[in-house]
Order: sequence, then C-alpha cells, then structure tokens
Amino acid sequence: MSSYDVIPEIEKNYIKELLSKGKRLDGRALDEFREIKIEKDIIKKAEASARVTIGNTIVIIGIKVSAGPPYPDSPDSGVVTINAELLPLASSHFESGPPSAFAIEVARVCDRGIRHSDIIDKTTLCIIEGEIVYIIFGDIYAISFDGNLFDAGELALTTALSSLKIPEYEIIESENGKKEVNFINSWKKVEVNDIPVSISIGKIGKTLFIDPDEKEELALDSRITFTFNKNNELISLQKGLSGHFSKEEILKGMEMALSKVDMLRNKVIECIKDFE
Amino acid sequence: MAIPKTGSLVLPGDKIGVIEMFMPGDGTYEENGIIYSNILGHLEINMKKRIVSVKRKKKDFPIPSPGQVVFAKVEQIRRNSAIVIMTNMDGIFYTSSFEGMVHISQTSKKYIEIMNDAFNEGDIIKAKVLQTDRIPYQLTTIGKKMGVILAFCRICGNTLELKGGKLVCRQCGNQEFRKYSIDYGKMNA
Amino acid sequence: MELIKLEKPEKLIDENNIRVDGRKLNDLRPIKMEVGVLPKANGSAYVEMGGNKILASVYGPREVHPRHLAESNKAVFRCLYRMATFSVDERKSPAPSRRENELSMVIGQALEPAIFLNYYPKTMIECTILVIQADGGTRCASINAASLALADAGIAMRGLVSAVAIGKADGKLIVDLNNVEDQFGEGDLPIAILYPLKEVSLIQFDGILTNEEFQQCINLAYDACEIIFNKQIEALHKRYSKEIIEKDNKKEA
Repeated sequence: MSSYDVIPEIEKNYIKELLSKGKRLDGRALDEFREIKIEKDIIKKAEASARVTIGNTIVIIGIKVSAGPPYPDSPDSGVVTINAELLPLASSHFESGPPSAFAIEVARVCDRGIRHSDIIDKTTLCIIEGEIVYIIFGDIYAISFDGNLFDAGELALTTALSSLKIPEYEIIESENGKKEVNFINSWKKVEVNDIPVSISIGKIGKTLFIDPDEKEELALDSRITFTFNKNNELISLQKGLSGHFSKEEILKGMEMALSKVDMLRNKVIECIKDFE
Repeated sequence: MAIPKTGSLVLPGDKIGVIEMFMPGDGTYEENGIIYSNILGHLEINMKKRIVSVKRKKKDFPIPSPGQVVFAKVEQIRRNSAIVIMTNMDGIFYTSSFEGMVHISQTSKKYIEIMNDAFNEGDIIKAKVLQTDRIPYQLTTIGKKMGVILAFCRICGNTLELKGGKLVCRQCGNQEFRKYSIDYGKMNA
Repeated sequence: MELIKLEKPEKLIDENNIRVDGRKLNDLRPIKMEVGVLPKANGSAYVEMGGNKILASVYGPREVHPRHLAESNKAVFRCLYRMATFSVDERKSPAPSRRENELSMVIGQALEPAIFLNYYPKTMIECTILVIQADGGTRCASINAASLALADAGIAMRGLVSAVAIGKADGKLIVDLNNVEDQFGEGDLPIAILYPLKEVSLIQFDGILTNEEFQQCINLAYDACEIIFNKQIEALHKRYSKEIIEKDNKKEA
C-alpha cells in the first residue's frame, strides 16, 4: 500500500491548522530551511561523491565515469545521466522494485537543474567526435527520507560534479581502423562554471513555505521547485502534485526561493573550496 | 557469574541470571537454565518476587494488543463493518499503521441499523483493540469515550463541529449523525 | 584506508607472512561500527570493515503487504541486500542482479534464527542493506550491520550475529579477505555465528581446501567473530549508555 493512503489524518489537519496561522509543526518559520550539511568524497570507489543532510533527510550521490558512444544528435558532447534510487532503507514508505514515478521525478528535476546550467560544458567531455565521449553516471540514493529530496539531491549533484575528476585516456587505433581508448592512469579535473541550486516550496491551503519535511509533504496540496544558476536566473522549474497555484503565488514562491539561493550556494562553495 | 545491576543496559543475548535464582520475566528467554535478555533495554530485578526482566529501550510500541486504545481513520464502510487504519496509541506510536475492523455490533451500545449511521469514510475514531487473533484486528467503539473524534461533512467535506449534542458543518450548516466520543474534537496525538 | 586497485599482485602473501594490505594472516581489517544512524528507521547501523561501507535499516514490526503473505503464528522477515551503483570499480546497473537476490536470501537466512519471530505474529520485519562501497566480504559486513540494526530497532532476539570471511591465499589461511584476496585467492569461506549459542547460521564456500584446512578455517572464524561480536556490543553500548548517563545527569540537575 502506498504510504500516502495511511497518513495520520489527525496530524494532517493539525499541520494545516498551524500553517494557516503561519506556524509549522517543527517550529520553523515559513521561509526557514532545516539544518543543511554537505560533505564530499565519502566514497573512494566513485569518481566523485557527496552526502547531503537536510534535517533528517540524507542523500548520497556517487558519480562514475566511463567512455562510450555519444548520442547521435550531439556527437561532440559527453553524456550525463542522473538516476535516483529510493530504497526501503530510507523510509517505510519506499518499496523495493523498479523506480517509482516519484523516484523518476526526483532524478529528472535534479538532472534538468544541471542540464540548463553551465556547470559542465559537455563539449569538453568529448574524446573522439562522433565516436567516443565520456559517459557520466550520477546515482542519487536516498538513505533517510524526511521530505524535500529535490533540494537535497540537487545540492549533492552540484557538489559532486564540482569535485569531479575524470580519467585520461590515450587513443589507440586498432588494425581494422577502429579507435579505442586506454586509461593512462591519470585523472583530470572537469572545469566547472556554475553552481546551480534548487529550492522547493510547498503549498498547503493558501500558505507557502520552504523545505517541506515528510509530514508536511504528506499533507501537501502542491509543490514547486525552482532552480537558479550563478546569476540567480531561473533555469528550471517543476510544479509537482495535483494542486494549483495562482499567478501571485508563483511569483511569491519564486521570491521566497530567491531569498535562500545565496545561502545554499555558499554551503556548496564552503564544501568544495579546498578542492584542487 | 557476574549479574548486571538493575537499570543497567543489556543487549539481546546478555546473560542476566539463572533459573535457580530468578523467574524469567518480560524481555527475557531461558535456555539450559540460563536467563538471557532478548531485547535491548534496561535490566529490572525484582528481588521480592525474584523476577528478572528487561524493559524495552525504544518508546514505540511494537504491535497492537488487546486492550489498547487507538486512533484510527475510517477507510471503508461496508454493510456490517468499517475498515479502519490504526495509527497510534496514547501518544506511543506503532512502528507502522495497521488495519483494523469495527463490526456493527461493536460500534455502539445502541442498535445501529447500517454502518453509515455510525461512521463515515474519512472520519477519525478512537477505539479499543478487542482481539488480534485475526487480520484485520478487531476493534470496538462501545463506551462513552470511544467513537468518532473528528468527522467531515458528507456534502462539502469541511470539519463538523459538536454543538449541543449534534454534529454541524461549519461551512454549510448540514447536520449529521455519528457514534461520537465525548472527547470529540480533542486530539492530543 | 586506501583502496587497492584490482590487479593480480605477484604474491598475495610475502615471505614474512604479510598480506597485500600490510596485515598479518589472522588480522582483521579496521572496523568501525555505529548504531542509530538513520533517523527515520526503527533501527539502523553503519559498518565499515576495511574498505566496505555498509548501511542497514530495520522497519517494523509492521503490517504485511500484500496481506496474504502474513503468517498467523510469526512475523515475516524480509531482507534486501543491494549494492550502490558506485560501490564497485565498474558502475553496476541499478537493477538488482542475481547475486544481490541470492545474497538477500542467504543474509536473511543467517539472521532469521536470531529473531524471535513468534513474538510478532501477522506482521513483517523488513531489513534493508545498502553497500555504498564494496571491498570484499560485503555479505559478512552486511550481516554485522543488519544484526546491529535489528537490536537497535528493539526487536526481540536470541542474540547478535557476527560474520567474517576466512580464506586461503598462496597456500596459507587468512582471515577477513579483502577484494584482491577474494578475487585471486584460493578460497573464500564466509561464516556467520549466532550468539550466545555460538552456532553457525551462514556458511558458504568457493575454492579448494583440505579437510584439515577446513577445520582450521572454522576455528579461525570463531576467533575472529568473537572480536567482531565485541565490537558490536561496544557500538550498542556507545549509543545507548550515553543516554543513560544523560538521563541521570538530568535527574540530578
């Protein structure tokens, strides 16, 4: 049974009542994030990794790099694939099995957040045009779920990409003219030009608030996630759940999100600053 | 054998006594004359009754057992019963929600003709666990304190208020019947 | 601890009986154990054994889904072992492999005899293990982590379960194989021991051993598990003794 059917209705009503008075269950202000902690390089087997904690939500990401063929429509660009796994480790509401629609939404929103930023110029990930490019896999694992996987996932992804080192290859041409690559035991840093961050706003009744936790997510009418680049320009947007927003609410939500962008970005910068 | 003191932390498998000296109580098991803790918790030695037991460390209550008072959400109304989802008990949370059932005969002291006269889908009720031999667990709402503690209007979906012994919709004024608890509207979950 | 690249070394054990990572034959790798690391789970643990990094969570006892799987006289114990895609050298597909499915089963069967399932009829206890970094012997490290998570969840148990892999490399018996020894050694014998019974609840073997070597291996496993068992006890005490002290301090204040 999906968890969303068995929410303690009592709590849901209480959350709604509190929010209508501008208060939250855990005492936070409407525009207040829970405590955020970012760590990088937690897994040595991954080319880059990070762990992000937002309150009781914990996600880890590991990035693996290999070489392979490019997409036919962009022969000179590397391939970046983002995937999210919501195992029953993280929550009693998650079930084992193929990725749920929610897991796919998390992966997609995080992916689109970096896709439209300049964080990595994908043409620098080309090895032989049209033949071999770098394939970058970012896998986000929720290990403790207390809401807002979107922002946690995006912070993890941005942090990991900012500290990514990719293997260097030499190109070998075999006798039949086929080109192959061979790892030469050295690594190079990927040039990073942006630090996109996302901020999710929840809506219950008429109240908008930042960083919904699990209990709030269960009671949410709607959610909207804004992603901004280093110039604080909007680069990606996702409205989630079956509720709706007025024009004013969307603009107000964006304003609330913008007020937290610098704080989040500084957390990432703080974490990656000593990276060479 | 050194036996730990009352109040000390014990783990599953810790030796906490021998049957020559103590009776094995809650949170323990006995094997070949030795009493072991079966749970992570605090040791309690009752020297008068000579019982050794272990008090569970975690606060959440493992599974429903007869006599417990629960909050539950009415999921489905059937002809002669209501299926409910039980969530917690007197502020001590179960490790998950469990499905329960209130049979029409266990709804009220008075005769109830159809289940819809007592509950509606979506209502929150306070109930007592009757027995746990079968699934869903059997509950009862007989008693003044038991019954609906939060109900929603069948017409507009808004919360009903208890006014002079009647449930009235705040929004549309619709009047409804329920088997309600004297604690209606009071929820300290 | 630096990970060793997976290349077959000339020797797995040198003339002074020192292994590729500097250990003696009977040495365990460094162990780190922490309990109660996942705030949303009923019980959880994090275990590092050498380069292995393992998280385990326990949820339940809870309602069984789908309900027809419920058993009237005991709880259903479900164990899920998964490896993160980035836990190994080559990215692993996120879909569970046959190996992961088999390990879910054998790990579950190693832990099940430790749990008093009959205390929780018609419910389900779910244990999920995620390997976030693998370095040989993940099933043993997983059992150690899962057993801690079960105790942390307050589930009634006979006792803890401790596990270690014994193996053979360059003709010598070694304790707690790392990835290289696992891949290029001559045998891998993971063993789990159920305390306080001290009986074996998991044993598998791949490789080649003489009868005498096999007996020695089992003795080595008992000795090594004793060390791991004590580390597990230490981890649980570290997590929960502190709370007692805090409580006492509060009372006094």
